[in-house]
Amino acid sequence: MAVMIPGGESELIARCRRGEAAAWDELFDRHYEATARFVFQLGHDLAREDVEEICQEVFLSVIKNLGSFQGESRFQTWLFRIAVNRACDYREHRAAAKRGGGATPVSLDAGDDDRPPIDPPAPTPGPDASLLAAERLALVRQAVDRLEAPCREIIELRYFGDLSYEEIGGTLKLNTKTVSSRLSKCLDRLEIIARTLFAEESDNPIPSNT
Amino acid sequence: MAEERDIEKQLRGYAEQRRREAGAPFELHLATRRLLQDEVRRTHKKPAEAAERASLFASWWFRIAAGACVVVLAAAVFLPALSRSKSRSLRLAQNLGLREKAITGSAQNRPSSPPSENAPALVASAPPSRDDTDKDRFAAAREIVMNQAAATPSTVVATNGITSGMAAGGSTLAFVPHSAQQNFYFRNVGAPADISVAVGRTAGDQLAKSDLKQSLNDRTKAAAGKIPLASFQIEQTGNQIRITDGDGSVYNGNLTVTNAETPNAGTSIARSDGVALAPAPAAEAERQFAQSAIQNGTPSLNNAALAQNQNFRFKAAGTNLSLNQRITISGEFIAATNPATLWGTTQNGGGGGGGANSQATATGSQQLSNGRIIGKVVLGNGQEIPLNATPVAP
Repeated sequence: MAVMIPGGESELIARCRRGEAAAWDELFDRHYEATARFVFQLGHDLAREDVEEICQEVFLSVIKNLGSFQGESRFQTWLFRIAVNRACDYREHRAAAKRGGGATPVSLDAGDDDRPPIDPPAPTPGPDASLLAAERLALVRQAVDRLEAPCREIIELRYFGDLSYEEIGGTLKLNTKTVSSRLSKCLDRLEIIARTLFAEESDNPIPSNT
Repeated sequence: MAEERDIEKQLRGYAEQRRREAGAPFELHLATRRLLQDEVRRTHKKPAEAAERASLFASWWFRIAAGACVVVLAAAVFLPALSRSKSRSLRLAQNLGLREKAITGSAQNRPSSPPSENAPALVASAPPSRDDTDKDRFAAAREIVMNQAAATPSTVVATNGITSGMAAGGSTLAFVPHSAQQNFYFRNVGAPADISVAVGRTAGDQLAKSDLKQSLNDRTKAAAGKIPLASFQIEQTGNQIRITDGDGSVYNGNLTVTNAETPNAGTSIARSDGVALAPAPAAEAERQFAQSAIQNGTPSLNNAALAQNQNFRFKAAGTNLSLNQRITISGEFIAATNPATLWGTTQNGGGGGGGANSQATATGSQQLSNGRIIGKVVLGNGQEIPLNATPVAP
């Protein structure tokens, strides 16, 4: 499936393949912010440090595997798919570390001095409503995490990465209609999982920390 | 466009919330950038260098290909020549080695080998210059001839009558008239040491033109420069012959077939000079020749033409460049008779001379490779030089 590649992107990738440091710098600058924001949505428990670490792994994978990029999709789509996989690996690794008694990462923003941590004002209506909404959205994220990998991937690419069906089909090597059909089925499963979670939450009003 | 489902709205709401929570834009940290650039250098340096080499090769490929073509062509041209030169040098070295070995061996074996019964007669018929050194040289020549006969079966080679029986390789070639050209190399062992004729050129200059210089020693060369037909080459084409003297002189003539029972030229020459060759030196030499062949146990091929009791006479004339005189050559090619037949004839005849020779020639087939040329050379001033030539290696 042919996808229109933005002008100059193929040239930039060709320069990167030739090992031009400047081209790589340009590639990092173009895609790092979008990738980081996308990764930040892939887990409600991911801090900025986690995102940076995941993004570092994502771009290392890009450096090593740029030769396998065939141009069948936009570079950012290919990059987001790598980010999905790396974020999943990262979260699994961290969960395993927690089960083994690993130390919980501490945010660098949590200063060791006496100053209070940065706490920007949230644009939410009120503390109670915001808290309620945040808990509900966290349950949505948990429902997504309970999906199988193919469904989780396609939902993350579609709703967190804002990719079109064509772009998703390009990176997953699927027909557009297949993408639409699979996405619909995955949303059905997600609804079932989310309904169960909401029901459990309403039965147990004390919010869980996990 | 279909209306969004509730779960989709919740997903978008979650995404929006997380984007808000992300806060300030993400920036690539300098340390991370450095780490990534290091990885870029590690991963893409080799392909870049390979691509550079490939582009370098692409820009030079035509020159490289042209150079390779030149090398291949040069090899194709020069390698065969070098191979020929090398094989020639090797053969010459082998021959020289065999020659030295033969000379040494001959010198060692000489005191222990008893003289044969016929040796005195043969020595008596030999010219004064044929001393022991000559025998050694002839023995070496035989080795050379045997070696070359094995290597090149089509070459006619022979040696002198003293150490005959060389046709070990079976490399005999019929001396019969046909259209193909054949070359024969001879040395006049019956020539005098010198003649009283002024010579205008040095022997060395003349010999430089001849192929015989490789097989004759310096003394022979010196003599060949002064004496006509001291060593020469015969080219036969049909019944036409062309004699090339050692000094480069060329004599043309023709060849005639004679019956073997007719008295040979050697006998007539013996009558004319009556000293060195009489009585019947050709027969005596042939007997020695054949006896030696039997002793060596070397088989030889027979000449079909001569098996029909035919000998070949020739006559040629031309100007000798050394003497600056016109000379006339007449002679007969005396092929060696069948050794077994001749041996039996000799035993029965008990020194029958010309009769034994005639009978042997008549009854036995003859061996050209061991044959000789008997005749005479008449100079322009009437002086006659006996011709008693034996084949030598080219």
